[in-house]
Amino acid sequence: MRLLYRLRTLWVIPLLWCMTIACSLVDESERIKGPQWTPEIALPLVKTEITFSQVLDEIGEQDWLDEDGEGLLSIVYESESLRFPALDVLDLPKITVPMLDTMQTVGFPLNEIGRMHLKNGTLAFEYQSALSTDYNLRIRFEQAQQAGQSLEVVLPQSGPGTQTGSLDLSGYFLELEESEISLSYRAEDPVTGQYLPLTAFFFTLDSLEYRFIEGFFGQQDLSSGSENFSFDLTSAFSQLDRLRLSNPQLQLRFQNSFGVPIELRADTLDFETSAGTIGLDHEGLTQGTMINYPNLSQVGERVPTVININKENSEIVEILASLPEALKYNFSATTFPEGKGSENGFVLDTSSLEVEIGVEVPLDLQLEPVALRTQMDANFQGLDLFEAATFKLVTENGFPLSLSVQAYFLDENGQTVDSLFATPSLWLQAAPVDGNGKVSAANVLETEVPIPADRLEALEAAERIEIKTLVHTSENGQVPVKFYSHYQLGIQLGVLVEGRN
Amino acid sequence: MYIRSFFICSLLLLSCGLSHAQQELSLYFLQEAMPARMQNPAFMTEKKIQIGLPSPFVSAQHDGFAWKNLIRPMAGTDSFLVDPDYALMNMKDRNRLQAHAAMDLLGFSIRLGGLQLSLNTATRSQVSFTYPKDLLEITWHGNAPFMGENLDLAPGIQAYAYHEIGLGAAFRIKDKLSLGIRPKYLIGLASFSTQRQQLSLQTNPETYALGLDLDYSLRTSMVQLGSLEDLENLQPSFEPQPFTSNRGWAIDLGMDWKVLEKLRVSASVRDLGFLNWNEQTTTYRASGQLSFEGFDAARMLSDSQAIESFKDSMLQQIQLDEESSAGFRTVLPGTASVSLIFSPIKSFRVGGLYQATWYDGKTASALALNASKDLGKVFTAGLTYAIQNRSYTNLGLNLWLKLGPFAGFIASDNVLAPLLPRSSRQVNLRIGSQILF
Repeated sequence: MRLLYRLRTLWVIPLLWCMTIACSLVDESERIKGPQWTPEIALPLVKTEITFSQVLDEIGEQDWLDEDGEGLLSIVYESESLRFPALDVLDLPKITVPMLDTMQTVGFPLNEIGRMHLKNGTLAFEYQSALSTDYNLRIRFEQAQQAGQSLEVVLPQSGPGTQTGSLDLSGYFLELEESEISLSYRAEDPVTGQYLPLTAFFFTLDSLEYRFIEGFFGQQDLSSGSENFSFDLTSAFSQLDRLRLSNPQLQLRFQNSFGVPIELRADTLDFETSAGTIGLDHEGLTQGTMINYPNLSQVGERVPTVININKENSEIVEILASLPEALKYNFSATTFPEGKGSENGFVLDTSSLEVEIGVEVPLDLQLEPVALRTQMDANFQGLDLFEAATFKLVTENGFPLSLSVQAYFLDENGQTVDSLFATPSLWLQAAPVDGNGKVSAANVLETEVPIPADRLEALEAAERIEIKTLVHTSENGQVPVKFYSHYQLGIQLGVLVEGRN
Repeated sequence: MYIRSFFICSLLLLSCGLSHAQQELSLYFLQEAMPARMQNPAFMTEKKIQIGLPSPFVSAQHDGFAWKNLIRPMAGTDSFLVDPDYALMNMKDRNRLQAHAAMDLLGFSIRLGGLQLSLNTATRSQVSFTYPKDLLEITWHGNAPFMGENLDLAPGIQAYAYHEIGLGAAFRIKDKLSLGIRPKYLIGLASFSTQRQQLSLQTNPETYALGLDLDYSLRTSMVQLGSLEDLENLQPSFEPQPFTSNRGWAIDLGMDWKVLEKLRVSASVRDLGFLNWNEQTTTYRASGQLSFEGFDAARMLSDSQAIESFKDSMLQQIQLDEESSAGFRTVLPGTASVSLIFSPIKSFRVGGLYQATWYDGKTASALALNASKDLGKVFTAGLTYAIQNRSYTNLGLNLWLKLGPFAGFIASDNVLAPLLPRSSRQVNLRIGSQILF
């Protein structure tokens, strides 16, 4: 106990020590500096596969894109359908026949009409009567037939004076092989059948409208009138000034339901470009070309005629290379250009001649290296969190298209002051193509895109940047390539960033 | 020769890692204290009756790194630098941060000739949080330096608390040998432990694609996390109850052999037992393999809901499951102790202690050397040097003060912790008092 008593003050020693340590720790904590945190983080960003048709779907509903059975894509522009005016020959005249006798035959005024099926029409009559009793009026129209029987009616009449009436000819066929019509009338006593006299008898064929007419209508000239068909290849291929389209086509599609021979000519066929007008020479259209027409077994059908204007028969490749904006055209046509032949023609009341124009540009092309530039405001805040970054891009490119990218930093005057990469970075290597321009295999490319610290700082400081994209088709644009909808592009993009605090 | 072999073997065993259970090395040499007899039921006292009063114990350990491994002086300056790289160099693949707290509530023992009967009650709790070195590596260095490797990111937790009621008996045979036994009845209060813990990350060096393997199993009793169907709104809840249907048994066995007049050899095994968790038990499971190779840009262009769909598809790769019916069992970490105490003179003792604790298939060892001196009849002081927890700078202290029938004691395995906080990885303290007749 005495020893304990003597040592009673020793507890102060560890206490003082603890206090010293505590003060030391507090002091130490105020002089602690945080570490430089520079983690390296590798992250996958994108893994995707996309076909050309999906790309086009993402662009939006594109009614100017078409795809054939094999998937070859084409840019297609279609004009509105243009209808030629009806043939003048079909304006049926009013025909008045004064009856010099009870039976009269007169010529039909339309030239060599063989047969006509009436949709509407009347046979009107007018005469003077001195008869005070009832009588029957018998009228016969020899050429107006139904089911092989000529029109013949008996009409009960009464009273003296001027009498009128009419018969409906709707549905009757007029058989006009002889180009004449025969009309007769007879007034009879209803009891005895005795002939009774009438005077000043007139027949009138009026309001005739045909449903079908057959014969020779003579040579007639038709004109479509001048029209303008706008399409915009410029926007489709903007900036691609080194583009060569391999197989563009202009297609004239006629639909003819006139059953007569027609010769067609192009009076005007001019492409309008920003540099002016370029006329398209096509021998057939200039000299005149026959278009198809239905025969008597095809009554009511529209018979097509397609005239292709392509690189084989025109200079359309050269013309479309100038990226025209519109086509101005005017067509004329002549019926029976060679006069009356051995066969009759026919026309329906619904017959028409229409023309549609299509511009079809198959994506069969070659593009030499061309630079596409676009500027944008730069707003890359928060990049100071990173010391450096390296993007790793693995592409499996099934498109016959190479793409490399460079970004330039611009000053407030739009002058280039620096670039993001030392040299343009190749992101896509065009897939090789076979002799038909079809991709034969995908091209795998692994690209590392390092962006060191000073580039990140420059990127963050930039107010405006210009993206320059250099594109060309396979083999540096020296061979034609075709774009099919099933072409696929696989992209894997990852980034390795070095953070900093 | 034998001593040399003993040390070599001990050092090898120490490399096994951190002790998992409650280890009180200094207290072991304070055998008059009732909590010391919890370490070996064969320890007997000369007093006829002892009443143990509440005795708290707290312990905290971290085997990952010490303060000095993380905060290092900057050369040429008076400043310090947080140096995670150096801390990482000093870490193991898996590291543990754990805390124990125990309160020996009341104890009673009576000596009837060669027989000593005792009764004790205590409440014990343990929280052990393990984390892999890779988790800090990836946080500090990012995943890029480890592309192509399989990174272990899975933390784990073992936490439980229970009441203990022990009934002990020690027999002395011919003044040479004492044998002791203490069965203990356990009442579980709560448990929150991962059973399976696998969370590994792989980064593809070619594409930077990320792969995550997940296999977790978390078992709880009396603790509820809420529905896994709504992960963003988990509402953990815990309503402690003093008596639950979580029951278990454990047993301590010991011997104390007076080999020579001045030499004693003791050995014990304790906490051989288990706890069955039956009340409010839930097993939460999460498993799956996630891979992220990048966003499908093509789909995102066409589908405005692509981001949501992506989130859903990622979550669908994880199978979440909770099962509330199954109970489970926790096997207590058992501890074996072997000690040698030599008394060259009556008032002075030197001793050595080797303890091994095994849990979950692993063994952790500790070695302690102690010298104790009785200063009169009322005061005993001892110093302990211990090697444990990959730390070789543990200087412990045990003090015993007896004033009449009252005695108080204090013991710690690392009194240097408050004095050398920069290098300490652990600290513990036991205080208590008792009445002796």
